[in-house]
Amino acid sequence: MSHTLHREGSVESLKGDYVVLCMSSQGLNKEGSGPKFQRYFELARQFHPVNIGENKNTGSLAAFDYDTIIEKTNDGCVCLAVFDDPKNLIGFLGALKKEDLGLSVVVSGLMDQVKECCDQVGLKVHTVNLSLGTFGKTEKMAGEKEREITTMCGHGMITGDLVLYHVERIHKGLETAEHASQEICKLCICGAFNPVRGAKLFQAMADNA
Amino acid sequence: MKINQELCVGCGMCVPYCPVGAIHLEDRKAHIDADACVECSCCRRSGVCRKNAIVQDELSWPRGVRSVMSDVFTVYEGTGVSGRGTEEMKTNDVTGRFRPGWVGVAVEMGRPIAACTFRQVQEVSVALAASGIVEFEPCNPITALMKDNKTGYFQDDILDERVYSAILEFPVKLEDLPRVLELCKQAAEKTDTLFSLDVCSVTQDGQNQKVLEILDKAGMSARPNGKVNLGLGKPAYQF
Repeated sequence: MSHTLHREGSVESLKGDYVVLCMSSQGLNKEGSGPKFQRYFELARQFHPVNIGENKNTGSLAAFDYDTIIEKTNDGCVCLAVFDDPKNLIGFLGALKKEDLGLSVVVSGLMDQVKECCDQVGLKVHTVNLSLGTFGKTEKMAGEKEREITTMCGHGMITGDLVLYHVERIHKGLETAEHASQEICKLCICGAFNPVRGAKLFQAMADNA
Repeated sequence: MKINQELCVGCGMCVPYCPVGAIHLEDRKAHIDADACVECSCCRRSGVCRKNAIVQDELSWPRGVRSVMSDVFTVYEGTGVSGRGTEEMKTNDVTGRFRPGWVGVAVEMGRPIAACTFRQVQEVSVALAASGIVEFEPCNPITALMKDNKTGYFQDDILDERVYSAILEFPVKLEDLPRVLELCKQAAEKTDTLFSLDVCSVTQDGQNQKVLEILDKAGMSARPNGKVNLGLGKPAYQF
């Protein structure tokens, strides 16, 4: 599924949200891909990802430490690294180009900025995937502000009600926005959630509560 | 999924963890509405219940299809991909699944967090299939659950099974994209649930720009954020 495609939010907020996914293809380059995925995560580490993860053997940084995720990564994993700074994204993309792992790499983020980052390291976009939004009984969705947080888990494991529960706790001084974001992050198993952006969104919601 | 009533202390902490609102408190105990539950395991996996009262009961067919389509950790044998997903454009650089002249379309029924039954998915799949220009992606669990992927009808026994979401994926010729977008608009007016819509295209020969022009003519627009495949996979598919 296009699980990092439909992230919602303002352009300003999305400027700090980039997901880099790496995967192999069944029957083409899956066999022997494990060590390449491990190298992928090692390279990512040099550029300070705010989250990493895979949903086959471990999970995200909210539940496992970096070394454990690397150690358990093997053939056929789908590996994600999340960045909040385009400079780090550029660095990582440059490193991936140089390393030439031979695995598919997909970047989710603001299209203009991602294109600019690719240009800077001499990478060309092969295929684009565009979100056209949501159709039908859209009144069934969580509120717009909640969705900025919930849609960072593409598998939809974070509910709007849970976001509101934490917003209230932050507003009452019972927890920090950072803590709330980390708690929510644990539910997003593959590591697509951006806890830094999440904390900012939580704080803004609590300030306006 | 069910709640062990003897262990449950009725704290209610699990209630907001359910993506589809299937948990409620009654007589100071938590209960899971079996019809509403999509078997995503989110409640149990969250670890929110300190009494370990959330337990997975045995899932026989056809209920088991809920887990395949809703639980991130359930791997569908046909795709080797966990959850309801496929490789789609993520490996297009090596598979060539979406070639020049073709556009990939994904209609994700029930997303975000509204859920859907196969009956609701079928309403859309049948309408798309009837156009004669849509052929559903074979490497997708949804397609495997169809009685006939040329008509879009699903197996009768799963029609009322509720799942977190279900993705109708298919390639269409570039010139057929306007017709598909129109069908999606019509489906949006009729459906009792909702769906997220996306399209993918290679950039070769400026095809992605042509897609944007088609979207514009159809009165649709793409969000500013999207996904790009960088073409780093090997062996590279030769178009």
